Amino acid sequence: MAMQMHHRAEELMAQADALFLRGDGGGASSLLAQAAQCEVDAFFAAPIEKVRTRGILAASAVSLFRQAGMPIQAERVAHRFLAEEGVPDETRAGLEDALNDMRAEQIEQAQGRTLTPDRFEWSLKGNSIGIGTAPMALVSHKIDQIQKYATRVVEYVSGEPLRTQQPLSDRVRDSMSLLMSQPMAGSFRFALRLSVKDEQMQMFDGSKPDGHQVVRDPSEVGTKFFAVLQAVLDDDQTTLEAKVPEADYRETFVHLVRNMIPDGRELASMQVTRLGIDNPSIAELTPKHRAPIDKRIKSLRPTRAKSIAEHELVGLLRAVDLNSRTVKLGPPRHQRVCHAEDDFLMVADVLEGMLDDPVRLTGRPTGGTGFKFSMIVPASRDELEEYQQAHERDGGRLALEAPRSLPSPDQPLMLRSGEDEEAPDD
Amino acid sequence: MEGFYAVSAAVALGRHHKSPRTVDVQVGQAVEPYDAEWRAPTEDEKRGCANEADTTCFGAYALALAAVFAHLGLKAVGRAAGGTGRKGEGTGADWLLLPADVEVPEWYMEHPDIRRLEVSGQDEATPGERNSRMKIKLNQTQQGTLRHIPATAAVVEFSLPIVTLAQAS
Repeated sequence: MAMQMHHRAEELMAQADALFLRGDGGGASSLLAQAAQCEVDAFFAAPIEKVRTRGILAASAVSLFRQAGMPIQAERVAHRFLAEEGVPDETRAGLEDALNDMRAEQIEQAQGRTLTPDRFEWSLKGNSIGIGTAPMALVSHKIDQIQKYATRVVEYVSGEPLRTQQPLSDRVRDSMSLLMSQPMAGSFRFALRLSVKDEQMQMFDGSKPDGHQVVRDPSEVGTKFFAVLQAVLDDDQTTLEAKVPEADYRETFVHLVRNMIPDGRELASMQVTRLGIDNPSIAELTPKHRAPIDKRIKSLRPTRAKSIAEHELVGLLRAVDLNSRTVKLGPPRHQRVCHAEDDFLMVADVLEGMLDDPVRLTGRPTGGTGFKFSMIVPASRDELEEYQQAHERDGGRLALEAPRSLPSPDQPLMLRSGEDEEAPDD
Repeated sequence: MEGFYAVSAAVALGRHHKSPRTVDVQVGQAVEPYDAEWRAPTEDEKRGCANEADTTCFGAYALALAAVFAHLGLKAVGRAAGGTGRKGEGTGADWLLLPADVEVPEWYMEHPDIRRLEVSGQDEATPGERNSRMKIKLNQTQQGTLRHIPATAAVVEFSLPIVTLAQAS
């Protein structure tokens, strides 16, 4: 009897597929709901010792109700199955996951928001990553960088001009948010989903009275998020320019992706999989991406006179002052302040995403301890250590100061230990 | 197998090829060609497969099931929702497989050799894109409500055409 009901469910699933193919989503959903009920009946008709069968039927029933667009029924039967004996532990865990998903969707709906079908699953791997565990500071830092990138994508898709110093507008903040699932088993993994504010459709076009666009199709954000990320990782300039014609936004995206690249020490790779769409995609961020992206960033800078020798500083980024266009490099006992070149595109969240991390500044000494930078990118802890070892003087104290006199172009930057001294404005 | 899965496969293959045609089946580095013949779809059938993504998905079911039968000696004995599905969510369908020489018992899901088949279809893809898709499918066999049942993943690409198979660890 139980298996007859299951066979009926199989027939209904096949018929639903046929209706989907013809574009009759409503009819297909109705058949899926009937198939779900058949699976429920089959579950309760199956003997309790048929544990594996009951597990498959329970999973199938909940899944079918969800596919049919009936989350309340799905939730109800999931609870009934969980209250039963003779359900495998793995199925119980899967049903709990499904319930969590459905609850998240309901919470968003209650707040006038909708979860988009896109799901970005991130997987972190490296020496400091355990099975389902990871250093909190590392994870929160990476999530912060991902959020900064995602927020920029939302702003870009919304037609906002590039924001350099201003805070995120209320309109964008209210329109979309990023939700994170609980970590999953395996290497440290978590999923992010976009939540979109439900807005009444505009009668004539997508424009708001202030000229901004409404994100009509939230999946556009996910598509742009992934396409830009992939183009930067592949160093595919043609695709990147096609996806982001605006040079300032393009440069900002390249920097934000660069910030997310693992340093290879604590974190060896970050893999992101975009799910919930017809063509799931996968991309992997590894330290090998650093050099090509740095080269790309370098090429984006305005051309400098060849007579100006460029030098590099490596240190911890301790502070960013957007008003005075300066950054403060550590370590704490030997901080130094460096000024941005006038044509340096100083974008708040690009720099904030590197705070308390090693960075490499490229620029020119300006006399005294002065240094003007035209490029700043993340550096690894190894680079920082190498730099410190190469420039240790005076009993091992680290010095980050530029020489008192300008070096010749072929002379390496000589560094000496010194006092905490701010770079003078030149 | 329902007839319309075969029709979907014919339409998806027909975008690139004419019958008969060899279909490669790849497991690891080994590739083996198989002869495939299909009836050309009628105009009505083509119109019925207007949704390209669904046609690719359902056509992939047909080719994947044929490939696991011919190459791995496994036959489809049923299906259940709860796999990762074409959108990679835990709301799709999985096929359930048993060795082809096994007589299918009533409670076939209790059979110790039961496996599930996760299928993904691509109209055109580079080797890198096929590998990426396989990686996604293999990752996903470890998730979802049916993750405790051993799985085989199949990625079907229609322009070559090639069916790539891999066992989930």
